[in-house]
Amino acid sequence: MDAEVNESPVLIERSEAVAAEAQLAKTRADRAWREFKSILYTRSELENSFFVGPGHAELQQTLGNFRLFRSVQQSSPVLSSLLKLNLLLSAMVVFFFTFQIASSGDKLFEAFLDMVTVGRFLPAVILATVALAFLAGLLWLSQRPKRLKLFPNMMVLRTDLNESFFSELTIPWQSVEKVRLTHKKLVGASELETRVEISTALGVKHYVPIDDLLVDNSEAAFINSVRTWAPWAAKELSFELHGQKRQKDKGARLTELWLHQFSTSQVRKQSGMLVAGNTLQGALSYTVLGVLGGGGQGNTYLASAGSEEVVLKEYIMPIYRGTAVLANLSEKLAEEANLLARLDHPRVVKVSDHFVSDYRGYLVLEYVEGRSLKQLVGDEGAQPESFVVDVGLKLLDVLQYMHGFEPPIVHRDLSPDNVMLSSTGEIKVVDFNVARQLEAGAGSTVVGKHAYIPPEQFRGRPTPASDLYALGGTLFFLLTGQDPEPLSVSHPREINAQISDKLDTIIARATNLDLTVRYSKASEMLADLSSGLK
Amino acid sequence: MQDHKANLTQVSQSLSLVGGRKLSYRARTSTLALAFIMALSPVWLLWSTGAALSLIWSIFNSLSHGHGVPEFYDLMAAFYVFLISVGIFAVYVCSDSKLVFDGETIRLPSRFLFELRGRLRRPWESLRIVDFRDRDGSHSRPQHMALVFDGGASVPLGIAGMKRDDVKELIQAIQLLAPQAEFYPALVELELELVSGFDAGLSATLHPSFTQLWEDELAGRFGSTIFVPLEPGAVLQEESVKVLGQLCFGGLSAVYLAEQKDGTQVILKEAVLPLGCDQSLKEKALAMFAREAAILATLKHERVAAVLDYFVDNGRHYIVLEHIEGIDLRRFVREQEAQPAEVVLRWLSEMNDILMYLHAHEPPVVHRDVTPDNIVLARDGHLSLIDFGAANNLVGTATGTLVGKQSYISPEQFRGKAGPQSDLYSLGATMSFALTAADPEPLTKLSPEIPDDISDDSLLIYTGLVEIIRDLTEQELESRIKTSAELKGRIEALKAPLPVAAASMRSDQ
Repeated sequence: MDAEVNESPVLIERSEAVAAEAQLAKTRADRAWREFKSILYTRSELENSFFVGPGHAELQQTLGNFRLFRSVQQSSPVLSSLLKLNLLLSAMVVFFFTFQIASSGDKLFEAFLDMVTVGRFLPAVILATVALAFLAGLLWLSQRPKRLKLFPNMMVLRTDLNESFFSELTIPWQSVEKVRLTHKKLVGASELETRVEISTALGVKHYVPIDDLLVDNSEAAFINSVRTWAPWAAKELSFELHGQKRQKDKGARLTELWLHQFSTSQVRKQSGMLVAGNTLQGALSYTVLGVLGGGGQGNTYLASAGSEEVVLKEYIMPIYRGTAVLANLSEKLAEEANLLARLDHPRVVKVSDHFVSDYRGYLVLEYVEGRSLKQLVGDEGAQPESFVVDVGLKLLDVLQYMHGFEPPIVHRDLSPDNVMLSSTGEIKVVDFNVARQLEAGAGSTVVGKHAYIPPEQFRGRPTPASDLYALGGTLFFLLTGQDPEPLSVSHPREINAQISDKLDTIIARATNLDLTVRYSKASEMLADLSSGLK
Repeated sequence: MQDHKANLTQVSQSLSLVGGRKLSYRARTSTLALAFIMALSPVWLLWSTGAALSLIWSIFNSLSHGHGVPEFYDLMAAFYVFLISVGIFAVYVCSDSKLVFDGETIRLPSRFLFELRGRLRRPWESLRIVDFRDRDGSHSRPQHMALVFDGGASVPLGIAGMKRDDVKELIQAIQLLAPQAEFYPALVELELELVSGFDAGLSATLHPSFTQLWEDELAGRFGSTIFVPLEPGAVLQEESVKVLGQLCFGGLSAVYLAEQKDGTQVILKEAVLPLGCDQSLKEKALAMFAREAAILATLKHERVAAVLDYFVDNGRHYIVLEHIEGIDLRRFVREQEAQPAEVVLRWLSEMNDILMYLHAHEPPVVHRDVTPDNIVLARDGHLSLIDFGAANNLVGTATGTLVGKQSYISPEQFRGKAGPQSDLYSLGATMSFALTAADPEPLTKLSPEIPDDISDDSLLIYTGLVEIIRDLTEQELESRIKTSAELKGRIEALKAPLPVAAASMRSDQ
């Protein structure tokens, strides 16, 4: 194979060659033989390391899967120089005293020396020292930091020898026989050291301390990779801590501990719903009169602000001190409130105030005495066409107004629950998307009244035409007393043959799933609805 | 300030339960020193014997002969003893020592005895500065984290030798317990620089903008609710379940980590039905929920979180689930990015086996909420299903809304007619997420893009997998893959050409 200076072509080429070879290997013996053969491959050229590092790394020597690198010098820590000096001084000490002993003619020490026949002893001492220094060297080598990187066709084990030298060993997945965790009590340490043991087909065992492994891989990513690329090797691999499991649970990681401890029950003044008589302070002082609770969206209260009656919509906020959670949600509430405050239309419920009190957000809304269209139908059943058309025209007026803003304001939650019919016969639109905006968490999203949501809104791209779909569904509901079928064109005539063709066509067009067929503007639908039905 | 103190008391109380946090502090250089000293131990041993013997001899000699003790041997003996003491002290200083902290104080390793002027234990309030900068002011590859306390004591912790998780914990603890401490450079700057660095010590430890990630995570977990969520310590059901902490909440539901009487940790799911619910709808929803929960409680599969209990307490509905430790696929893919086809194929196979088990019941158990958030990679590397759509269904039916993650809901489920094939759709969407690291387009037949830079072997698997995902996310039921068995056949067919892996998988498994 020719060498190339680029990293990735080499990577792919080598791993492809390895993979091709592997195709034919079937048994362990076969794999072992192939591993052995791959070891016999040597070369000495310029290449890049699999590990990206500062400066460039020159390949010094390749022996099969083993590569020795020399990298750009990093600044030596002072301490290692001191250690070298220490070594030198100790050597001097040893020399000095050896000299002293040898040259000393003193009888006392001679006697002592005779006692231990130092003549034969000294070389033994020196030999022992050298042997132990060698063992220390091996200990040092095994303590060298290691790193392990996983690729689709192999693992690469890197050992840092010293500041200038490191080695990389390629272990193709095909030659891996077993990967597992081992625990060992090190001399002098009080804890067990966990290491990853990688055994190859030839019987070679590599050990990588878990901390070194975790520099480049998370536990989950590591075990996931092994199970994917070498599933036969992962039978004994698991990060479950059997026996130690209880301990681990008790000493939960600090971040999880935070979650448990951050909430403070003593902080909230009220833990249930508000009751009559409670007062809240916003721009004005509000006194709760009672719970309205309608709509299934959340807590709503009737309150008095001076002489007027208002509605308070309540959103209970998380506390989590020391974080921005409460602040962010309060900001979102303010944003929504300000957006709604811009709307000035007789048929849109007015927002007069917003505030946060006792970790609960409140929107102060105009009080509309009456019932929602849903309640109306619940009480009186399906409504006559003339009424429905009237409602349609009035709502289209509102939608036209809202869509006329730059950029257009899309309601996104138009449904029979959200349209009020006042006791004086007025139509009022309430309940914009505020709750959805604030609910964020809980892992699942409340999609909303899915019967009234068109596909493009569900896909996250609501347009003004989405409100027209919802309107069509609402009119269907009024005419038939039933919720429309989600994600389909609604034909009220199918339920009630008495309904006029014209109205049926309009509603069908409004609830068409295809945006090119559906009305794109409120004015279009308004025109259709107001004509031909006199 | 009052509340901050209250927080700290709670934290230290809980920390004291686990005996404070002990971090292992061992600078790499001290290991070397230890090795060096150990290697020379026979020399020390020999000379110490010689020193002791000659000292005794000379004392004996001078006592018995009445001479003054020869000066030379005095010096030599004294020097040997001194060397030995230095050796012992060096071993003590260099040996593995611990960095311990709890809610009130931090105790630093003994090697900093000098810097701390003897007072190794310092209260958190006295920590002023945390400095990552080198002598020349740069902080691109910090080797040290200097903690500066009141009174000027400065401790340069060598972070290169510490475990990465420990460094992260220490920084988090400082942020929580010593909010007055200033970071130089600001933590956000520090992390950004480090991620591009290479130093084994710290770069892999801190995620980019840790503080921002933490805030984002909190914002994603906790939203406004219509009820006040349970606090840690709350007990339910005649003290058989105790809340340990809040995991997430929003709208009408919440999820907690809880503990049963026997100490096992469980997941507690809470659903609160709003007051204004239509009564008939509410009753229908509750009846359905009770039936479903009863069926779920009978399921027994090692890869499915068992439903341990379900009850009503104080008007709120609860399900108690087995707690399976692991990382959910959403977080995994967020951290590890788009997964290769081989990984996704394996995940698909494992999840399909689970769904096959669920659907094999009479009547088939439809999960209804197969999403990356509900699948975890357990500690043994296999996938597990940790949640059910039952609670969502309760809330949804009672309020007339749909609860779930848009991208994973099939058209028929949207229309309220979920069946086993809906789970297959959601599985297909989930695998598309794994392949692309992005939530797929809702209600669409999915065709995830194949990356350019893959080998030819992988290309085969990719195209096969994308085909399967397309067939799983067909909008019409007739065109979609009908059963888990059919899907299994497709998966097996795709696995066949894999080199060796397949052959040995069949023979060794």
